[in-house]
Formats: sequence, structure tokens, C-alpha cells
Amino acid sequence: MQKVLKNISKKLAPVSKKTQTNDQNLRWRFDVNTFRLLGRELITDRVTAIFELVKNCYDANATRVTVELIDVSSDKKENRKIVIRDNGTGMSFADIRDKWMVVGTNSKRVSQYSAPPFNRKLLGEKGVGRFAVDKLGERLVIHTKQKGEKNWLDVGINWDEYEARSTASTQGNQLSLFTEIDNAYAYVPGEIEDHGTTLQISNVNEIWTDLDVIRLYNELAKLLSPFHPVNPPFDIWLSSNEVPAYSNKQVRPDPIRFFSHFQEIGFDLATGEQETLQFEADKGEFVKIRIPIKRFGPVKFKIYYFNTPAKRRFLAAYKGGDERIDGVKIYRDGVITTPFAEYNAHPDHKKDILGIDKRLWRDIFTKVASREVIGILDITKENNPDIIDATNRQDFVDNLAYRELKEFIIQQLDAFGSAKKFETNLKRSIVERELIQAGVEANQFSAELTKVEKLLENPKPEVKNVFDSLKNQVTQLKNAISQSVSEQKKFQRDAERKEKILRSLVSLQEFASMIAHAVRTSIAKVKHLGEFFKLNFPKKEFERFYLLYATQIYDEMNTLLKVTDFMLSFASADKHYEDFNVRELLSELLTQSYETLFRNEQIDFEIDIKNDFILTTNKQAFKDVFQNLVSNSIKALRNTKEKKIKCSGYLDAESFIIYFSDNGVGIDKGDEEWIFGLFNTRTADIGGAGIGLYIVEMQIKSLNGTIQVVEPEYKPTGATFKITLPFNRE
Amino acid sequence: MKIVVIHDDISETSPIMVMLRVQYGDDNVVLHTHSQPGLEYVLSNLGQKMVVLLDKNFYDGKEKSGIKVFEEIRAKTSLVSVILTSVSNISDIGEENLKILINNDLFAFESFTSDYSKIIELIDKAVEGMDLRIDAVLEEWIVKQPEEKRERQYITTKGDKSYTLNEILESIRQRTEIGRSLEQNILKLAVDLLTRKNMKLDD
Amino acid sequence: MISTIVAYDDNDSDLGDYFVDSHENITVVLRANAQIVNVSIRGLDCTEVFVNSTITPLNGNRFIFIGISHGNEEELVSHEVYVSASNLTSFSNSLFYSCACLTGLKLGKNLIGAGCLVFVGYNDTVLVNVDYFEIFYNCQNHCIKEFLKGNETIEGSFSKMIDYYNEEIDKLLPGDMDDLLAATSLINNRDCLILLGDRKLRLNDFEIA
Repeated sequence: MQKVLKNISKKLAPVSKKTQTNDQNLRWRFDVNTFRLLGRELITDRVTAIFELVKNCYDANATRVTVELIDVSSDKKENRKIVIRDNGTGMSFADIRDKWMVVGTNSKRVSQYSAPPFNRKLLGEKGVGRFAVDKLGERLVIHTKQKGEKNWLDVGINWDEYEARSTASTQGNQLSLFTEIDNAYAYVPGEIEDHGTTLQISNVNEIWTDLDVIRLYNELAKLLSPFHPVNPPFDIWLSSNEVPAYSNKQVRPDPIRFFSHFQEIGFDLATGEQETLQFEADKGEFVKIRIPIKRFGPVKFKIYYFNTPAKRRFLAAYKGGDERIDGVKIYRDGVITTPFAEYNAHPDHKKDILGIDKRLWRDIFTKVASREVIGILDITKENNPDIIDATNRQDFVDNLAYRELKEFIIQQLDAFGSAKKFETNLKRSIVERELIQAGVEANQFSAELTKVEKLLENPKPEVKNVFDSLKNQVTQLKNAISQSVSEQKKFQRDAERKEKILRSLVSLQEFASMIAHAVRTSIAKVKHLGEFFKLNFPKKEFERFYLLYATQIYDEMNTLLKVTDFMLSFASADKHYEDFNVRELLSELLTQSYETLFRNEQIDFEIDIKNDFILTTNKQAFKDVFQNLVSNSIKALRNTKEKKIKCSGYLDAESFIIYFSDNGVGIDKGDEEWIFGLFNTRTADIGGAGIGLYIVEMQIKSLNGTIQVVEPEYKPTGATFKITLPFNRE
Repeated sequence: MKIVVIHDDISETSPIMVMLRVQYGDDNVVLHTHSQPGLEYVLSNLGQKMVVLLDKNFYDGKEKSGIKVFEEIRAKTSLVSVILTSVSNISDIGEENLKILINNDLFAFESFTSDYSKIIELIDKAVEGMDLRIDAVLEEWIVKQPEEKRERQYITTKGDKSYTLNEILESIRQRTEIGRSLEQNILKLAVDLLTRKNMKLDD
Repeated sequence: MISTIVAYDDNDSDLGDYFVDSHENITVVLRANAQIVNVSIRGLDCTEVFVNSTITPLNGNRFIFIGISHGNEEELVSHEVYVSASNLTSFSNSLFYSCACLTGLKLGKNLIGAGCLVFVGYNDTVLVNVDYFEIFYNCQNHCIKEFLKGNETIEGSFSKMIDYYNEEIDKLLPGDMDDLLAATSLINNRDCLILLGDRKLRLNDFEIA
């Protein structure tokens, strides 16, 4: 391929040779490693590399691009090749000299659109192509031609040579920079009408396994909208000589499957109307309302919602793959828009560009999150000119149109939220539904009445009176029904609220009997102590017990007082119920309220709560739990040098987990259950009455949660409590 | 005679322990605050006459329950008297559990909120009762015999069975045939002697 | 001449020795009496066939049969059954003396019903304390030994056996636990003794001219 015909070093080498020996002029020069380092930051992995190169093909107005992987699973580097071939506009010599081989990370472009007649919104980042190639392999041959040219231009670039020369040269104390190396190029005859660019990358750096090939396919599929045809077309083909299923496969996005609900809205240019979704809870149906086309222009939107069983099915089908339920994406003219076009090696780190998940924490059970929907929003350059990709490629330009579009998207998702809520409510309001049915029937009756009335030509006054009275009755009936429905709704809401409280709270009776046992035991002990006095005082042989027993009576009574206080507070609890965010509460409590305390005790405190979790309970009581845990830890830490307390938490599939740890004396083996006993304490000497952890456990139990002692985080000493709070099952 | 207290809310200095020790001697009163070790103590000392004061509930149900401990003692021997105590009312014990207690011969139930003196009285009654039991006497004697003697044939029947002392012991504990016959025979002996006027009551 | 047959199971694993000593305890008395012609049947020969064949030559004359072996409600057994419902009639015209358990319950009655003259046996489990063999077989054999002296009816001999049991029991009383336990077994045995049939028979009623 490489026929070195000419070596016009002056024109190809980015820096003139003259500068080496000219001591009048000083110019900046570039060493190859620095260059490659730059690249590493821009192109972090090989899939991104190919992604960028394919985007470049799109920008070059190609209608077809083929990505060919040849022997990429071979152990021998020299066997591995990647070829990217497109039928785009191709590059001229000047393009190569002045663009490709100019190192610039400036993404300022002359135009945001590709050449006519395609006028495609440019997808690729300027100046990134060369780094993409470098990431992929050490040698490159660019084979390119524009229409109207006679010859294909072949240019060879060998990074490995540059490196070798550079290393060799430093040893000989002579600088040799790749910016001074000449690059071979050659012309190959071709057809005038041909055009396109082929990048032939060899000495591919990494081995590509079958999975890597499949992943590449899936990522490329995300470039195209599943629904909006790209016109003029942009077909991507993947060809692997090693993976039979992909030996020549057109990249097409998979049909979306396993969803539980689907809605789509469109627009009608003729009437200037845009469809928008609403969910009518009375009927339990989605309706499409027509509104005038909005500021952002007409849009088509397809929403696939996955309820829990659907999610499970989806994950089971795509286990281990790259398919994800990853929210709403915007496609322009059939191709993905740049903020959504970044290949993300870590799908969980995706940015919430549209702000869908920001609104979640308040209503975690009713609002729809990104992880529950796949949304395809199709816009076009022509119809939606105000939706502009920001130059940093991470977002859209924040103008009114875009803000309205975001709101619009969220409205559609809210319709699904209502549907979600409706379905969970479905089981309950039978009474309500029957009332509604009655209302419907009343309406029908009324309609029939009117019909009959109309049939009568000249009704006699008595007849008319009868009709009027009937109509009045129907109206009254309907009113009564509406009122009943709203009463029922209110009742339902109250019942739900009570149910919520009840479910999150062990019944008072259960609670009373739990405490009663402990209280009776305490009373029995005190009684025995008193009996001893009654029968034996002042016998000298028992003298050693009198003081001991008197003290024990005193202590037991004090503990009993605390227990009864706790019972009272528990009994009045439901008047002070509220929703609160556990994460926020804990952060506030532990960093603000206890800041002084921790400082005084010289305790190093760490908090790490990953997710939001909403509880409905007595906030104060919940705070008390942590008050007790902190106080316990402080006691345990009294002889520790570098005191540490840590509180961490996260959401798991069924519950919210909190770990509370300290590096104090720890809990003796065998005492892990015992410490929760009402009067059991190992710190009696410093005023521990044992009641603290008992109350902690009671409080957690009342939320249907559990607390247990687990392996200490700060091994080998210290203690860690694990608190599990289950979700309220709706 | 040993008094074994298995209770999670009694300590060594509790009044009831103090008074039991006064009465029966320091060495003869044993306290276990966890149900399993308490059970193991009883099961490994079966040759010893024992009265057990047993709590119904251990650590809010996190450890083996008293009723289960009782069942397991009874599975091995009828010769330990068990008194069950609890701060719950007896009516809180479910039907199934009550059946187990009654059918397996629980000596007594007393609320822990009663005077400890009352509880100790019950223990005393149980102790007396043990002294009146022939099977307990037999057990105690057998256990004292050397192991080789206990493993030899001791009694044969002319109906084709023979028994070692160990087998007789097991039979006494489990209340099966040979044990019962032996007990009956001893009673018969006593009655016989009295009626043949060979023994006066204070001999 | 008086005919006697003594069957004793010297092969039994538990009580073989006991049965041997028992047998010797009786045959001493038998030998001392010149009138008595005795046939002893050893364990191996304790089979129905052999027993019957030993009885046949007696030609239906009266005889005394003593069984020293294990047994149950209906049978006397050695390594096989040698007395049972099958050969009841062989024992018509005999005095049947059994040391085995339970035979009194059914076998005794059946024998009497088939023409046996007198039956002495036990109607419950007979216990033998292993270290007290001599006392036990002495008690067990006392009745027949008394009868063979010729001075007593079978009833009188039986009653003397009871007295003998009591004496032995009293002798054991001051002893240790083992002695007491032996005494209890003796009581057990004493209380399940049974006498069936013609109680007034004497030794000379068995003389054959």
C-alpha cells in the first residue's frame, strides 16, 4: 500500500525541518508521548473510539459505513486489524495536511452542519478522530478520495515508529520528535465519481473478544432512533470474520420488548396540533389531548413503561448485557443527539440531562423514574430548530424552548405516574367504583329521559312537570353520588393513612404486651427484694445484702420510670406522624446537632448515605434511636485513643439498610442478643441502665424493621449495628 | 439432691438464690442464665436427684424456650422434678403447650411475681416428693455402681430376656416394663414384710 | 418303680448354667431314691419328637415330668418347641412341673384339660438374679423335692415351697441393695406360682407295680 513516491516533507511535516538548525527562530514542538497522553483523556476506551469515528462518517455525509474487525481476537498484535470504510465526502490533500494532521483540541467549527444537500447536524467532535485511531491501533493507513479527484490518497501513520525513534534518539542525546518526522503518502488511481474514506488500522492494541464485538454492536445501535428513518439514510454495518452472527450484520436497534405499558404521541402539522398524554384516573385510561404545537416544535414521543414484573423480565432477558432501561433519549432526524451520544462505560453514571430523577425523592412510589421507562423522543432539525446541542456536548442550550420541552417530557411521564398510582389503587376502591358506575348509570338515565322528552312534541304541563321533577331527581341523585364518591375518597384516604400508620407500626396491643413482660419481670424482682427485707431484716447474717438490695430496688425503679415514659411517648406517637427523608434527617442530625458533642469528645465522625428513603413515623422517636446509639458508642469509646463513629446506609431491593459503627470496646461474644434486654448493661459503672438499646430495638421493631449486631467494621474491636427498614408494601 | 435454677432474670445475688443456698447448701444450688447450657447441665447429671426451677421465656424468645427444655428433659428421664415459672399468666400459655406440660408431668407452675418464699416452698415439696420415689432411689443406687457391674447381665427372665443394670436404669427413666416391674416388686416386698410382721414400721 | 423325666436346656446362652445346676439339684434327690427310674433329656434332645419318644415306652403309665428351660404361655422351648399343644396328650397321667415363665397361663390349663393329673408352674415372668442362682433354683425346686420325699401331698409340698421362698427372702433382707433386689425377684416369682389339677396326689400314687 505504501508507495513512497514523493516525500514532500515541507508540506506534510507539521514543523519545518529548518527550525531544528535555525537558531534565530524558536518554535514549539511536540513529543509523541505528550500527544498520546492528550488523546487518552479525550478517548477513554476503544468503543468510544469507534463511536467517534462512525460519527465522523455521519458528519462526512456518508450513507453507509462498514466497521470491519479482522482477526481481532488473535494473540498476535500484527494480525489484528480494524477497517472503517465510508462513502462520505472524503478528504483532500489539504484536508489531511491542514486538518487531520494539525493537533488541535479546539472544537470551534465553522459550521454546525454538514455539507449540503444533507445538512446533517454534526455529531462528531472536531479534532478527535486522530486520537480515536491512536487508541485503537498503532498503524494507520488513510485511504480517501473526494468526488471529482482522479486518485485516492493514501497516507501512512505509524505511531510505534515515532515512539521507537523518540526513545532511540534521546539515548543519543539528540532530540527526535514526531513533529519532525516525515510521513509517507502516495496516490492510487481511482474513478472520478468515487468518494469516501477508509481508515485501515493495524497492530490493533487490544484483543477483542466475542463479547466485545457484541458490545460494540449494541453501542452502535444506540446511535439510531428505532423509529425515525434517517433520511438520507445512514446505514451502519458491522463485519467480523470471527463471530459468525456478526459476519455481515446491519446495525439496527433492537425492538423494545417486555414493557408493561406503551403510549405514543405525535402531532398533526396540518392542524398545528401536538398530542399530549394524560391519564384519567376515573376511567383508568390514557387519553391523548390535542394542544397547539408548543414552542419547541412538534415532537413524536414513544414511551415504554416497565412495572416491577416487566422490569424483572427485561433484566432476566438481557442479563449481563448492555441493554438497560435508561430513561428518555432525544433523537434528531433519526440519529441520537450529542448529549445522549456519549458512550458511557459506566451506565450507572449517566447524567440525568432532562432532570427526570431530580423530582423523585418526594414521591418515590408514584413518580416514574428513568430506570422504569425507555423513551424515544424524535425531533427534526427542520421542525425543532430551537433545540440546540450545547457546545460542551453534555447538554442542550438552556433556552425557553428547551425548558418547555423538559416540562413536556415530564408531564408525559407523570401521566404514567398516575397510571401507576391508579393501578395500585385498583384493588381498593370497589365501593368507589360502584359509586362511579352508579353515577354513569344516572347519566345514562338522564340522557334517556331527555330523549323521551324530545319525542313528545307538545307536552302537557303535567307531563312536563313530571319530566322536570324526574330530571331534578336525577340531578340530585348525581349530586348525591358525587358527594358519596368524594366522601368515599376521603374515607379511603384516611383509611390509607391509618393503614399506613398501622402497617408501619406494630399495634399498640402488641407493643404493650412486649413491654409488659419486661415491666412485670422488673416488678417481680423488686418485689422479691422487698420480701427479703420483710422476712430477714435486721438479721446479722444477711447484712451484706441489705445495702445491695436497696440499691437494686432504687435502680430498678428508675429504669421502670424510663420505660413508662417511653410507653407514653409511644402511645401519643401517631399525632406527630410525618414523612421525612431518612438520609436528610441523619445527615442533619449527625453533622449539625451532634457536631459540638463529637468535637468535645474528639470523635471522628463519618456519614455516607447513598440513597434517599422516605419514612412515615414520629420523627422525634426516630431521632431518639440514633441518640441512643450515639450515646452508647460514646460510652464504648471512652478508653479509645482515636475515636471513630461511622453511619452508612443504602437502598437495597426490599429495604433501607443503615450501619452504625464505632471502634470502641465492642460487644462480647455471646452478648449480641443479650444487650437488647431491658435491663442488661455492661456499663452500669458509668450509669448505663440497659434501657437504651431496648428502646432502640422497640422503636425499630415498631417500623417492622430489625436491628442486629454484625461483624464490627473497625475490626478487631468496635461494634457495628445493622438496621434494616423494609419498604412499605403498597 | 441438687436444685437447678435455669432463669434469665435471676442472678447469683438474687434473694431467691441466697435463700435456696441457705437451705440446701452452697454446693447444691446451681444457676444457669441461658436455656441451652442449663438443659445440658441437667442432661449430664441424670443420676443425681434434681429439682429444676425453669423460666418459661429466655431473652424475649431468642433462646430455646423453657417448655422446649422441659420436653427435652422428659425425653430422657421422668426422674427430675420441674417447676415452671413465668411473669406471664398461665392463661397465656397456649393449649398445645399446656398439654405438653400436664401430660409430661410438670410438678408445678408458679408466677414469678409471687413471693419467692412461695416458690421455695414448692421446691421443698418437690424435694420431699423425690425422696418418696422408689424409682429415684433405684436410679441413684444404680448410678453409683461400677461401670463393669452395670454392663453385666443382672436379671434374666425365663422368658428369654435378660437385662443389665444400665438397661434397667434406662427402663426406669423411660418408665418401661422391667423398670416398672422392679418398682412394683420393691413395693410388694415392703408390703409383704409388713404383713408378715417381720418388720415393724420403725425398723 | 416310679418313672421320672427331667428335660433341661443346658445349651441356653443366658441360663444354660443355671439349668444345669438346677438339674443337678433335682437329680441328686432322684438318685437317692432307689424306686425312681429317671431319664434326663439334654438340651440338644429337647425336641418334641424325642420327648414323645421318651414317653411312649412308659405305655401310658403315670410319670413325673420336670421341665427346666425357658417357656411361654403355651410352650416349653429349648432351641425348638418341645412341649406344646401338639403333644399335650403325651402328658396325660403325669405330674407336670415347670420352671418356665408364663406356662401357668395356658399350657397348664391345656395340659390338665388333656388329662394331665397335676400341674405346677408360673403364670407370669420368672426372674432370676444372676449372682444368686443357687438360692433361686433351690426355691424353684423345693416343691418337687419335698414331694419326692414321699411325705407330703403335692399341695403340702407346694405350701412348703412358699414357706421356703419366704425364708430365703428374709435371709436376704439385712443385706445390701443387690440382696434386696434379689429378694424382690424372689417375691415376684413366689407370687406367680400356680398349682392346678389334683392337689391331693402323693408320690406313691405314681408307683407302677
